[in-house]
Amino acid sequence: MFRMHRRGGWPFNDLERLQAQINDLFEDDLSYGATGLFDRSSSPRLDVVETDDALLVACDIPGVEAKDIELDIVNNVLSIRGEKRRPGGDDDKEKVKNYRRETWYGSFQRTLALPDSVDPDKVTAEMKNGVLSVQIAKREERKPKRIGIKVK
Amino acid sequence: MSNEVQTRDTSRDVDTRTSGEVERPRRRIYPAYEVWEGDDAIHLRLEMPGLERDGVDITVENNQLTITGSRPDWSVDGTVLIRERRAGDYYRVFTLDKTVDTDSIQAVMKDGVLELTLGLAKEAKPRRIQIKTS
Repeated sequence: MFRMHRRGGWPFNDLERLQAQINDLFEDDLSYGATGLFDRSSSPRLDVVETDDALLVACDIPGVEAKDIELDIVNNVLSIRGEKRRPGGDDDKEKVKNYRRETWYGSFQRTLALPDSVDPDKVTAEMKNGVLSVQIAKREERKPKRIGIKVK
Repeated sequence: MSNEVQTRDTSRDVDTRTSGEVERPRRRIYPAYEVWEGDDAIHLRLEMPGLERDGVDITVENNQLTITGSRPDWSVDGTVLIRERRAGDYYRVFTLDKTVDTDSIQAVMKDGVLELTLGLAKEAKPRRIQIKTS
């Protein structure tokens, strides 16, 4: 996970860029799900954005139906699990001639440690166009408050 | 193997890689795909998460099948903690051989997956020849 370094203010900018480019080479044409050179497991890619009221998670899982996704939060760890089924069932693949396959089928899992500021009881999730969106509300007391100061 | 579709990916030829110094206007995403042959059609399935049905553009010119789609940025007002998904333009080109009947291409978009059914040309289908008795 080189991305961590990239954001961490690593001082060697040229090296950093080279590394990013090498990772891009692998990312461009290899199957989706691989997040870098050394990560080849079926862990779908995700984005996490923190807003004032909530933590938003978006996860790419094309071809997966909502009923095949299990979502839970245990000990403040969000876990996305599921099964990506081959349309038409597994039997089909014996009958057909496969020419090329970059996609994968089977189970996937991704876990995400949540910050303390979120409330695990206030979660909504939606599946749309192959993207899973999860919204976890923040605890009321942790929301940033704006305190106006009047300058005399 | 007369019905084989050439799936050489020509997108590499088109996209001349720029060096790190030049800012590329918008990223190209090469969607993962699979191709297989059924009884009388070639099936092509591409994974393009985040695309609406209307966001996909499929064109056939000469024997080139081009699939493009623009994936909108996920713009939320907040602090980005993890960014692994990429915004950009989906792009993939396939070269079809003559066994594909380009007039009979059908497309279905569901759950971020585009599935194309490419019918085989009549000449490519096995034909039974009756022998006349004189």
